[in-house]
Amino acid sequence: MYCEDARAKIANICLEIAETAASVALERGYEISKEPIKKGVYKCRDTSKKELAADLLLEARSLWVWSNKIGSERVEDPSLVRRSREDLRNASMFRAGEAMRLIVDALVKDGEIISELDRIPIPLDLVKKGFDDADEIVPKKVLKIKPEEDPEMLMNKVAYYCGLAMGYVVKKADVDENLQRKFLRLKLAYSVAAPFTFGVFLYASYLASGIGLGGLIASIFGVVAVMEAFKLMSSYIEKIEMKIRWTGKLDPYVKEGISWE
Amino acid sequence: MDVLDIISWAAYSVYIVLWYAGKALVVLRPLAEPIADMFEHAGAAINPAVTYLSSLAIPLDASWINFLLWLYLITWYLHLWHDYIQKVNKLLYVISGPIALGLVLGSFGAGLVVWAITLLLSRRDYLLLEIPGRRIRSFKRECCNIRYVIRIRDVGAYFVNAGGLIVPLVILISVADRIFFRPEIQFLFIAYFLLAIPVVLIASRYEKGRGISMDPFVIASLSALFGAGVAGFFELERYPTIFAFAVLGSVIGCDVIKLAWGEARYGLSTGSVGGAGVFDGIIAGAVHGLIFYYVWSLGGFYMGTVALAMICYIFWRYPIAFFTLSAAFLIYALVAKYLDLLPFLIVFIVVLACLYLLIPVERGIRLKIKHERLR
Repeated sequence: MYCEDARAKIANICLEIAETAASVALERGYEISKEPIKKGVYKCRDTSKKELAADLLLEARSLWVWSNKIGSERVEDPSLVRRSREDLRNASMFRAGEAMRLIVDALVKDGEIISELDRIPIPLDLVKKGFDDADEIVPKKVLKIKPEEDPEMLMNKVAYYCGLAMGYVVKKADVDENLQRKFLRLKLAYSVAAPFTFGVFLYASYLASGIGLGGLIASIFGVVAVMEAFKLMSSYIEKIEMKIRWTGKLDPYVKEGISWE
Repeated sequence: MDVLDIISWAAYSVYIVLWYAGKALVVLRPLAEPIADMFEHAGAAINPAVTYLSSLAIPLDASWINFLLWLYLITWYLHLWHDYIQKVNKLLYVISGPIALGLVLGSFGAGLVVWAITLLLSRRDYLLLEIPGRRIRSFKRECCNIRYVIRIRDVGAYFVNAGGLIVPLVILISVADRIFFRPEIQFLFIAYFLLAIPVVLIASRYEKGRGISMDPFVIASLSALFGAGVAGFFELERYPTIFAFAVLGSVIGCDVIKLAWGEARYGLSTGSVGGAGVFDGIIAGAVHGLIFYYVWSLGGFYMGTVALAMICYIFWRYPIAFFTLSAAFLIYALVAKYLDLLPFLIVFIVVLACLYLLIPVERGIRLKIKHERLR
């Protein structure tokens, strides 16, 4: 772990080099803006580490779920049969470790306080609480991590999030068949209803046009209100999907899944 | 198949699409009417509260309004030079927005209210459509003596932004009655699309995962020139016509055709139509077009300086288009025997060309320093 001065120095050097590279690209006629590069150099710690940590948690969970399937009759993939459950669980824990390391890094705001962490005992209760609280929305919680300045608060958060991460990867979860069917139906209904309703409401706002500023405002808020309702529905569907994936009914690695060489 | 065949085929296709759209509207009318009634009731309830606001007007011939809008355009055309001019331009855009919308809606008060709502709704994105793609990308991973492959399937998730898309569409719909319903106008819209969409497709760039990036200047100038010409010829209201041309040109050209082309070519991705909210090209292009036409119609000093700044902007941003236009002007001046204009044109083009070669604006001194370091 670097101290804050070292981090700032690395960021400055990185920016200097990145700007030089941008100038070279500009000179060769490529239209690029330097401002986003600067933002990227200084903000990368806040966003990309959390995203990577969330992805690694999904990968770890996926490996864990696959490890549970070894030996079961449902697994037909012959390449997977060659792997041992222990291998997969080791790989899963390796990814979980990587994720936890990134979570801790994302939680640290000021490198100066790292030295103070040595004198603070690890709050075991919070680790246990995190493990017990772990559910399907842990990757989303990880994305919302905010850096902490106070050493004790930092230690508490580190303990809680590490408990959450561990719980997310290894806890047993189950979901009934009805929820899975409901999810598929809801998703299909949403994909048809959202664009259709949007079109109908726009048409209705056309039919209601010509009644002055009040009508225009009512139309805007009418269309926005129905889309807000769809937003609630979409977040509900996403929550169900995350739950189903966490249980392993669908591959937890949401982007598609893991296969074996 | 020659060019005329292609144009007639495209015009026929657009006409067929519009015809079926008309049929769909007839079918959907029973569904939409009760909702429209609700909007009308709500509108009637709100109207007394906003009557005062909609009566707010500012004298559009006031010199400070003219100066403000002129300054907005000038800072826009010069914003390639310095970062701080970009910031000033953004601020002026937020200030000028209500005036531009007021030109469409009929009063400054109405523009102010709708602009405030647009700003308020700028951060609201709604999932409209999700399409699972067929393309799967694989990444090999190795960890703890096992090797596995992560597969990522392309998924197209398309969001609509409330401030960037819904508000301009609803404004367009609310003024549609004033511009659309004459048969010749519909054909003019088809003609506009046939002209504008190829230009938009060339000028815009597809960026996977980010959407379409395009300079709003392109659609603004197209809509302002075409809209003002059409409106003048058919005695339509000019500002609503310009607004309609700008919004429809951006939505159809960029967010439908270019996006579909990009997604088909590079794989599906996530994007938001009007995602930048009030700063998105759809509404920014329309506001820019309206202000451009307003300042241009002032004539005199305003028109002259804006024209000069615009030429410089085209010159810096689109040198090929600039030199093509210049060559066309020179040939026109020769053919039409405007020989007294020729020396001026030649000197002007040569001076700009020299500037382009000699003055390394923005890339200048800092770039040279970096080069020294690189050596």
